[in-house]
Amino acid sequence: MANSKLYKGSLSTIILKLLDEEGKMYGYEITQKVKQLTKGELKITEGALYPALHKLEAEGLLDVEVAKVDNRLRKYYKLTEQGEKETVNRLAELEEFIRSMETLLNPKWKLL
Amino acid sequence: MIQHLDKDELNFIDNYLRNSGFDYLDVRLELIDHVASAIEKSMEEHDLEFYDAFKSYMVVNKKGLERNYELFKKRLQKTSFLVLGKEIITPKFLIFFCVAVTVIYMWNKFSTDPFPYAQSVWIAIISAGLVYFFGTLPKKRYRISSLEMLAWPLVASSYAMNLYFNLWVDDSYFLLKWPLVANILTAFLITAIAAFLRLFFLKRKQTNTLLAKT
Repeated sequence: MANSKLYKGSLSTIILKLLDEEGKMYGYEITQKVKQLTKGELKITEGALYPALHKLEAEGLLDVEVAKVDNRLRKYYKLTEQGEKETVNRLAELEEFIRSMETLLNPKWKLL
Repeated sequence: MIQHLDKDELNFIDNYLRNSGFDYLDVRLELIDHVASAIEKSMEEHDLEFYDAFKSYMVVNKKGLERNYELFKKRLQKTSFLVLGKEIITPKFLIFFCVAVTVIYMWNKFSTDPFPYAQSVWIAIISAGLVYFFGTLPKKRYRISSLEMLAWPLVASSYAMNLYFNLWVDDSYFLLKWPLVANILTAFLITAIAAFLRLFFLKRKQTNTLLAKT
């Protein structure tokens, strides 16, 4: 499994991106989708996922819908209008970060 | 085909979580779904019985669940004032505040007696306290985080008002010298209590909807 600390700062962006693509998702579904997309490299624990979801909800970026499914209540998360705008910003920030890391790790040497 | 847990098995998970200190029903409901989904998958993939799948899951994940719950409780305390603050700056409560300032100002201008600052605010505090107490009393078995988070601003408002009146209300010099400051402070405190009451009834409604679905 990859070093999960490296992913920690990007967790909320990963959640926003997934919700942007899938429309609405519930907690367990998010963990499974991430596991599937990263071929098991990244496993999001409940201890990391739910605090991140609740924080995004408190910031007004996510909306919640509760539905009864298979004898139990299920909480679905989806992006608010503000959340959709914030997803674009955060993805741009993340892409910029990845570019900077690539430059740092693989500098192109030039002869002066 | 995936086998879904029955009501007894879901109740087993609920009781286990409640006995492990997961008090808030709204948070527990989300965890029940998460744990149940994981157990159903494990039962299907490894051909396990419910109890064995449950035990395997808890051995690996219980610490993570507890950590999540502790973080949630900490955040609840931090965000409670933010939620009330956001409510106060909505247009309807800004209008409410302006009306309160105007009423107190007009009272002081046209009435022979000064505005009864202390009495009006204490009535608001007692009303809010009674609503909170009787509103949550029937649901003590089901602790709801979003309702309890409102207790913090209520307690803080009570202390703020207590401090305010202990310091100033008997001091006629203050009221005479800075009547507008006394006016604005009183109007703000009344607005905070009104915003608290609105949030309280909103959360109560959400709670009842949630309980009706269980």
